Amino acid sequence: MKTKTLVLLALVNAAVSTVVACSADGGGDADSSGDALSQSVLPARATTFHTTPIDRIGRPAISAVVLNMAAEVDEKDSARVSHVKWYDELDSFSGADSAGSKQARIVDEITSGMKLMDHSDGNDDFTADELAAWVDLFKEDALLVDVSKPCGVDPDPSVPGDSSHSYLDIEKEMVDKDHVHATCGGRTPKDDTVDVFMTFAITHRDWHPGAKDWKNTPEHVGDLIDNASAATNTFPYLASPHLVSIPSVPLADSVDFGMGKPVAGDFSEIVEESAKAVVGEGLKALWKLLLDQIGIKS
Amino acid sequence: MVPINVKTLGVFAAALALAGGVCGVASASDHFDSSPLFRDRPDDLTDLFAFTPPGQPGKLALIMNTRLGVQRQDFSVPGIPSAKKAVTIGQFSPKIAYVFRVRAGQKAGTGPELRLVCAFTDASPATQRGTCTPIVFDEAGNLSSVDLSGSAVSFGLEKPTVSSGGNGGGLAMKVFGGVRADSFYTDTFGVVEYTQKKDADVFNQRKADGRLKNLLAFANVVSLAIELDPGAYFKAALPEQPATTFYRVTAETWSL
Repeated sequence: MKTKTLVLLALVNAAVSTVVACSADGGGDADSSGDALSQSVLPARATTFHTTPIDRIGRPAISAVVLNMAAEVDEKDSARVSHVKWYDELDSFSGADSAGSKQARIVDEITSGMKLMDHSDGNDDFTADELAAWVDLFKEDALLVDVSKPCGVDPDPSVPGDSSHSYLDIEKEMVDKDHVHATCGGRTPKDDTVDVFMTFAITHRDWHPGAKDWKNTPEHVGDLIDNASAATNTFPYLASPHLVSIPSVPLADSVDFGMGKPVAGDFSEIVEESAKAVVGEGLKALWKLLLDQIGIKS
Repeated sequence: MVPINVKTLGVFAAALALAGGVCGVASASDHFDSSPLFRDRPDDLTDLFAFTPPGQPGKLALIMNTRLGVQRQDFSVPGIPSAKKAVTIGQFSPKIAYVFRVRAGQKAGTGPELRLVCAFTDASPATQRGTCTPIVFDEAGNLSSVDLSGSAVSFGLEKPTVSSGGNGGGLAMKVFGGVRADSFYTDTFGVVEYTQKKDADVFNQRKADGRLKNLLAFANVVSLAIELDPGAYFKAALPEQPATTFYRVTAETWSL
């Protein structure tokens, strides 16, 4: 068994960036042990105004959804990968690369992706001027926050207006003069940014609880996975890491996945189901091999 | 510490490793789109959050997540000393700078910038230390002559740290670096299917077929969180700059 286990662990290690189990003891209390260091710890490039990042992120769903809508993809998906890669190398605020040659391209590609999203339900809801205004905003890849307004991180449903959904609230005000932002905007950890963005981009409607037409659009568009994360109202806000216990103990009795609802079923069944769902027949064969190796009947 | 069964770990890890491999092609929020320079993707930013902290108007909370799929250092397998080393990947890279950039004002493409540059020592998670240093540029891109290095904060992982800051405490900064649950959720493959089919009905069909899956439901990330008063930093570095409550935020990784 020991040898088999080591083989498995080697497989795990080689499998790159794997989500695995961990224990959680919480973040602990804040202390005052922070000590100031000299500016010499700064890399030299930190003082250069324009940057060339390896990766960057501002508004979610722009690269992963809008740009992918516009991308022509080959069989190996390499076109999509290179397509997103050049976007990541642009300066977040100027939308320019070091040579200044890609700024026009980002406008073209976001415009194309937004048009395709708008049309994906069979309706074209945005006017040309509205679309141009949104593209002008999106070419800067940044979250827009108003710190004078509140945002709920782990909202209390009994408090009116206490919502974790705030994404694009301010941007909508900048384009739609009838819209008044009531939240801090930006993005909170539990914000359903995929559904907020897709509802907006596909239907040109709002889906922010509390927004002026929210009650008229309860059937929001999106991935249909809602409220599936945990966060707290105290720093550092994200929930403690996921826990995993022994497989013989019913999952709901031993594991908190932070999903806000109990998860029933034997642990190995849950994992097997997840694997089958994502990798198809080829993985099933490998999956069976792995189960056989560690002595679990498949 | 929660007991962990090795069989379960192997099954779970192998399954999600394979799921993660597929996710590498099927990008979610911003997962898996960084440079392949680093095998375990310490430079890959998965999510950015920026918001007013509950009950603290005027303050700004910033969170960047990286390295989807992490294992904490305190994991161990009884009787298998090598296991800890084999699966330990939950920390920051000493070869990467993790940077928050905060522009003052509402209008895209403009405004002075507060930059928080965080770098980490080359050490195990138990002893690794990070340092986040604030610097400010004016709107023309010139580095402020006001030295804010006294407000830099040094911290260890897994425990929130508060710097005393300068300027009568106005430049205090709260920092956390460590492993947290990934709060992003989506039907990853549904999003990919949607971008390929360009049909908004994809998700309804996936729901009808029972194919909706939040593949990030079990995921952990390495998270870097900072909380501060951005207005105080801009006022200290650029006294002539008009005050604002609007900020535009992005996060970047740089190769060091």
